Amino acid sequence: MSLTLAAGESSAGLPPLVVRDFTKRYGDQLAVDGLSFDAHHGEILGLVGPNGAGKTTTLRSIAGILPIQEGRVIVGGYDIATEEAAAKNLLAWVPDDPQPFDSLTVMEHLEFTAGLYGVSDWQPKATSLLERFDLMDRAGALGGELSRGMRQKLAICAAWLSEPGVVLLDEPLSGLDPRGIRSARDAIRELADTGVAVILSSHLLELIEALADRLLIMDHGRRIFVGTLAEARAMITKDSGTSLEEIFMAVTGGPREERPSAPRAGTE
Amino acid sequence: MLVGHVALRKLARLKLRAWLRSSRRRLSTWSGIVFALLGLLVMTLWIGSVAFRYVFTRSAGLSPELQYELVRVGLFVLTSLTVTASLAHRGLYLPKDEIERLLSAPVARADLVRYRLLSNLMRTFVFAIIMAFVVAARMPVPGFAFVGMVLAVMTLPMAGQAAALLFGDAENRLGRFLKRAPIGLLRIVTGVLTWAFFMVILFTDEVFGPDANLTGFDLTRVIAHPVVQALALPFTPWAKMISAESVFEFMPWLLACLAIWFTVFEATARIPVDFRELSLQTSADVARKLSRMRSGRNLISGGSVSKRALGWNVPWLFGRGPFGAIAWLKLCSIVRKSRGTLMFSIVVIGFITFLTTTYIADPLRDPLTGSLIVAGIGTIYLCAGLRFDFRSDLDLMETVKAWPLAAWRIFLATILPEVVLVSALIAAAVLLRSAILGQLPLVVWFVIPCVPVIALMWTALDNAVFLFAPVRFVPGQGGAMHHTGRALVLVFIRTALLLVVVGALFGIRFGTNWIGVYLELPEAAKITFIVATCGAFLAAAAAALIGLGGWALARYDVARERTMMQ
Repeated sequence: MSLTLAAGESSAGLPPLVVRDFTKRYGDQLAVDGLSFDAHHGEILGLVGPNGAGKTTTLRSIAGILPIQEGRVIVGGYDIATEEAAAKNLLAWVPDDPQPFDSLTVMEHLEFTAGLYGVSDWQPKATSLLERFDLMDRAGALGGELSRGMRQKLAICAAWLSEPGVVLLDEPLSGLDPRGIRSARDAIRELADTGVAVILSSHLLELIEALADRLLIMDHGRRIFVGTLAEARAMITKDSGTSLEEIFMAVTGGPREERPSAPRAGTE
Repeated sequence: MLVGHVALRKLARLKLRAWLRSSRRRLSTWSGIVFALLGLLVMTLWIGSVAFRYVFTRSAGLSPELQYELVRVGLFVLTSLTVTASLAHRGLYLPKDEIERLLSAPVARADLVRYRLLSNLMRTFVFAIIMAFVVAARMPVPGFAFVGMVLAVMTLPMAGQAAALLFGDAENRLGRFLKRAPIGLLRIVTGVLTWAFFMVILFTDEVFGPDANLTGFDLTRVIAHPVVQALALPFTPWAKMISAESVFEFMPWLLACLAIWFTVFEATARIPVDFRELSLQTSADVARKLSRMRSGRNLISGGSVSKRALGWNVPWLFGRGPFGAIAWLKLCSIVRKSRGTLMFSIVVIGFITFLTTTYIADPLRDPLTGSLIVAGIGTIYLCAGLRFDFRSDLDLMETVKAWPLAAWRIFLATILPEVVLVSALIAAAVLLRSAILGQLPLVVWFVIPCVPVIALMWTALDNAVFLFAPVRFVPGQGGAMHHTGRALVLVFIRTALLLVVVGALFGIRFGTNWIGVYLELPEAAKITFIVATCGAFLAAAAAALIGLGGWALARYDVARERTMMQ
């Protein structure tokens, strides 16, 4: 990918999410190191990496929760650092352990989300989402009364309701029951089919393999690979039948010196 | 015996080492050293003032008999408070990160109790030292009193733990009956007794001295009452030790109290009860409470949602857009979770209004002064007590940071419902006061519009400073000195900002007055000019503080602050 976004450069016609040279430090510790990638309309980008690879830090920074220290993050043409509100209006963020407001009911959470993102005629959409995720009978329950899985479902419903251009999902299936997992998987695919760019971070490699159109593999804060699964197979294992798990192990499992030296080549 | 299981001793040692390590880490930066020194200064001044007040203001002094009786009664009150407080934590309390591991470990239950008792004793040591300073200065031989008081206070945790184990066991056996026991009432009564005891200690001369004439009745007769004497009787050994006047009087009681200490320690460890279920429940309860305190909620505003209030339709007072949605969220929190806070606040404001209307001297019944007192005290009290803003939302900051709105607008939308509530309560109080006095002068109509601006400024300042450095200290957390020093610095910053605003306001008031005189404006025009200029300044100051709050919210780093909180 040759595109380099300099300050002041026009961002018209860019993919819905552009990340360039993003670096994040916690004190002296380097969490993300010069990360660059894009997410395109209608695409599910699977974000994988071992614990501590910098996945959640990356997602939280894109969502505007953590400040951008170095590099640029552009959402729908808006720079998250300088046009924060406009960029966030196009984003939906589903954390790995959502914390609902304990004084609002499930339905009121969706009412609040609709107000926050300016969604008109929200009630039919909210009802449909709650039915889809088996939450309709809990519509009057308070946020503090929900189990982990229900909180996850509510966060997904809220994200879907806000009609985003980019959805960031951090371990969205954790805590869900089998029916919830099926609903969430189908819903993620359908959402992408409507043109939304979805970044899906998960340790469930089978899920990523089944859903993701492209992969972004991170380790120690760096991008190890970005591209399709087929490209990963061709580049890393030279075997068209290799599973994502084997690819993952190949690029992240061994000692650092045995890893592919700079497998940054991808579709960008 | 006393030393317990070898693994638990090792755990205690490792925890102590961890505490020392974290303390050293806190002192590794200049700011850490300054905060710690400030905290030490505050603690020293506080303890010093309490301990040596009597020394410097000693007048006639108390008779040795009265001192002895006071110590006995005081120890009874302290023990009662410890025991009733322990009843809320039935079973054996173990921290959340230890309980599962320790209950499943191959360790005898008696050893777990010993381990916990030793942990509690280490925590109690600082309190024992403070109490010993307070009491020693008032006793015939401070050294004996100091040692005696430390030993007495260090015996309290055992009494509390024994009560928690026995009460928990009784609850297991008697189930429903004991669950309905009025523990809350018992705690309030002992709390009041303890407060009274501390007051008596601090103001012994005023209450018991030769010129005592505060209460209208003789408290010495209360202490001499047979029931009080009977309740205080078990504390005789410690009282004898604390009030000893010679080493021959002191030593036998010291040995007796040490023997009691060892006996109670071992007896508590060997109480044959199965505390596991209650301990799990207690551990979860305490973890929840600590988490609530850590996230900034106080005991009242951190309450649960009222099911009745859940049925109420909360209006979108500030529109249906993003700003209105955030304000609505806060309003829901106020309407549904504030019943205790609101009731208490109304009582306090009502009391202040009542005082300024009825009992305070005539000059304060003047409409402006009285209204200003109600508005001033009310604003400070309500803004500090009603925490339906960022101060109660620390655990939701990740969500807040993702909201699609400029930081200053999120800040304003978050504090606005609280400001409206405070203003409404104060306006109602001021109007009520005027109605009671039978006069509603024009000046009251000047005070009421000022209240929202002042409340907005105060809340904005409080929240901005809080976001800049969200200091939370919860029981059991390390770094007390550091946190105290840090809190002191924040109070300084807050006060300095406030003084700047007030100083500028006075400057503007006198400046505009001078201009009015210089331009020979008519009186009405001059007053209008002054009010308009001061109002514009206040509005500008409020806007600046909202901007400051927005900046503080924007710079709030979820990752950094989370690390600080842990």
